[in-house]
Amino acid sequence: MMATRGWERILVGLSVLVVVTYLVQALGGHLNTATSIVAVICSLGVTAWMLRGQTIWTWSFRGLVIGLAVLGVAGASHLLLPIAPKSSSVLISNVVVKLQGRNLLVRGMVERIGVHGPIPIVIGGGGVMVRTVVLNSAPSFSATLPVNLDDPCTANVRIQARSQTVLGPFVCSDRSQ
Amino acid sequence: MDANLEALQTASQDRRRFVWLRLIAVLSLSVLLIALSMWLATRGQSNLQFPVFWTGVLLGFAGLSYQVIKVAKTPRDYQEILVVLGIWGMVPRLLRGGLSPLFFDEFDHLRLAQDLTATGHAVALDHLFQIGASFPGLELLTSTTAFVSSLSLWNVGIIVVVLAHVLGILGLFTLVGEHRRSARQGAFAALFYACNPSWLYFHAQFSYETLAMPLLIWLLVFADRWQRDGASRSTVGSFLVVAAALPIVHHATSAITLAILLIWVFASISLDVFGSNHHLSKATKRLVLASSIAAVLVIARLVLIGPTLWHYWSPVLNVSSIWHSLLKLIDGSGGGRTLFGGAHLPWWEITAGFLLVPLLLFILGRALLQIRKSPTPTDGLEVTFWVLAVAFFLTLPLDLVSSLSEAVHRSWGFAFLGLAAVAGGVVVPFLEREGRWRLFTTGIVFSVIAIAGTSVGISTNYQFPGPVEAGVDGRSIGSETAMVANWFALHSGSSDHVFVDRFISRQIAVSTRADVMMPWQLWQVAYAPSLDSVTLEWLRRFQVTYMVFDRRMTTIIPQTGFWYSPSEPAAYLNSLVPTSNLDRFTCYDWTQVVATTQNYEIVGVDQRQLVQDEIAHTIGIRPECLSGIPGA
Repeated sequence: MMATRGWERILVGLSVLVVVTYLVQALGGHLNTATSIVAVICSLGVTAWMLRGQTIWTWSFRGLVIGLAVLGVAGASHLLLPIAPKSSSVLISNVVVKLQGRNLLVRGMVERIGVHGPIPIVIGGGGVMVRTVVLNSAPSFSATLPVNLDDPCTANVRIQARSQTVLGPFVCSDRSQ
Repeated sequence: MDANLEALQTASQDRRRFVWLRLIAVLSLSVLLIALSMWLATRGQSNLQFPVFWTGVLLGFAGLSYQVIKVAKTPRDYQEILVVLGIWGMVPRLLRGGLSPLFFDEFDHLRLAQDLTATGHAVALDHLFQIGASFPGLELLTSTTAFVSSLSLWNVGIIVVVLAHVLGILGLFTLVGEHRRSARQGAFAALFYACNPSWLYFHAQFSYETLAMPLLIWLLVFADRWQRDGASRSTVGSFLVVAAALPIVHHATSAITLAILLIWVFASISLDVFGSNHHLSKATKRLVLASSIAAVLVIARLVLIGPTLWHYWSPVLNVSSIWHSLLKLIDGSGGGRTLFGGAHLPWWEITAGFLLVPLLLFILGRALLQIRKSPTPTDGLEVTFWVLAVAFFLTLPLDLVSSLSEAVHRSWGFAFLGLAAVAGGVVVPFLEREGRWRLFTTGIVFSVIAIAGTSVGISTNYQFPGPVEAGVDGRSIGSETAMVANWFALHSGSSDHVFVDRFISRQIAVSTRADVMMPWQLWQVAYAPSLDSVTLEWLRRFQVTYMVFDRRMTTIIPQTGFWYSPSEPAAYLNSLVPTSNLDRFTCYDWTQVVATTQNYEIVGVDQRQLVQDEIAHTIGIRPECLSGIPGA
């Protein structure tokens, strides 16, 4: 015998769990916390019955403990060294363009990853005065822009933050006002 | 006398403690070097990551091999070392991806587990991972454990993968060790198996093969015990349970398990009939019984899945296409791959890759000489090991066929079971003789095989991190794609259908319950000079509610040769998408740009407006764009 009885039990236990949960599903049941607990108890029961009469914990935890120590070093290295590739970017979203008389009220959100400090947001378009809003730490921006078009809702609003631009036309709400 | 015995025991315990502390120190240094190599790769300024990585990996292998050769005495000692090997072998994968999915398959399996947890059933995702729902063993295990433990799905997945990694190594150790009654041969076979092309990365990912491989190995262990020692409750019970679980976990491994059992049965029957006894031994009869039970369980399940499985396997099993590709290779008219073609590897890794085959042949040659000199006759399992080992060489020409290379690489994980068992039998007697050069030679051979195995088994894009690159598997995800995925997590639900390119698809898929799709019928949305009613009909039919476009489609050709699917007509044509094709989405009444990042644009699709446009027989160009679409 190769002194791997403990690991064998883990493998058999995992296999029983796969079969039991599969049967739960195949018989029309749903996998949820209750059925999972029943499945785990079944797995432990079946495994214990199959292997009864044998000493359960013949295996040593030493290998496992050392292995976990090695994983700990890996985790610490991952924290200390910036291994994951990163890029900086902002995401402009939730843009709303609302008509207020002869003005357009433009609102939106800017999420940032790896971008620090103020972000200038340039808002403007065809027939719309260009405005720059400087966004500090807040995630949302808004600006009111005078329009010199017969139908302000046809204005092609553009919103630019860093190198990305969101192009209109956006849905122009409250057209009746 | 008692005092002397006590002193001896204390000295032995102190020495044991020292040995283990030394191993921890060596492995920690190995891990730090691997982490350093990843950090160097992230900076992307030199190729220093290769030597640093291999110094770290070989240091770990050397430390563990030293324990096996010089320190371990009992099966329990070997077992402890191999547990450490199994866990240490997860380090490159964990450092590469951190605690998040990285490989394509990992995203697919995680999404399947997420859907299973949300709905209680394995849900077939038509556009993402259709076959997965038919083989949900890994996800069932992960979801159940997550329910019970309250840990996150991904963290449970990592625990399952670590367990599987350890169980696979211990399984081979037990199989070879018990069969040859030599824990040392078992330990060397396990060490050799750890050099196989799949072990450090492919079999360390959250994927069904990772769990299926240890099930296969342990099934062979239980079959061997059954045929050798008879039918004990634990042996038969374990065999039946594992044989039932395997076809729930993975299709190809189940089929290959059947093939291995068939070879074993055939070899055992042949040796019995043509040997000195001329009749079937009890052991062979027991093996036939065990194999028949496994065959019934596996075949019944695969037949039940039949059509879905055939749909999944048919592109790989297209015999006429394979034959034509081979003929093209033979007559030199091209169409195949070249070894290490396009790989940015240092010369010594490529050299190691080319040395792999001669070294393995050398090991098999020595094993043959040993068999000739051995007084004990061979048996069915040993013949099976040899067949698997030889199968490795038979698959080599197929590696040059593009459509088969991935399947061939995966098959090496199975072939190495045989190669490792044969090598275990060669190395132990070789090292038993005196001479430091023997130890040195063994170390060099193992090192070359480990380097070669990894360099042929994994792309450097997956092996090392690096600057984010669009259109490159393994490198295309980063914080910007995370930002887009996060947008979908906040704004979409299970009723949404997102048309998206291959490279960001998986990250979005695990962030939202939306259906993520890249059907080739929609390729025209990006590629066609103008959208027509047919394309709009497909958008309606697929009920697309969002489309995501990477603006780099206008400037780069993806490394894979396609943005969406290999079936799309634009695949492998090296054609860029015109800028105007991506600018036009501001000009339709059924589209609205809802979010944008530096490179990505998320376009909302109004299905109701699409239907109205269909009724009005129009493609919905906004009035202000009638004079011309911006950029067109």
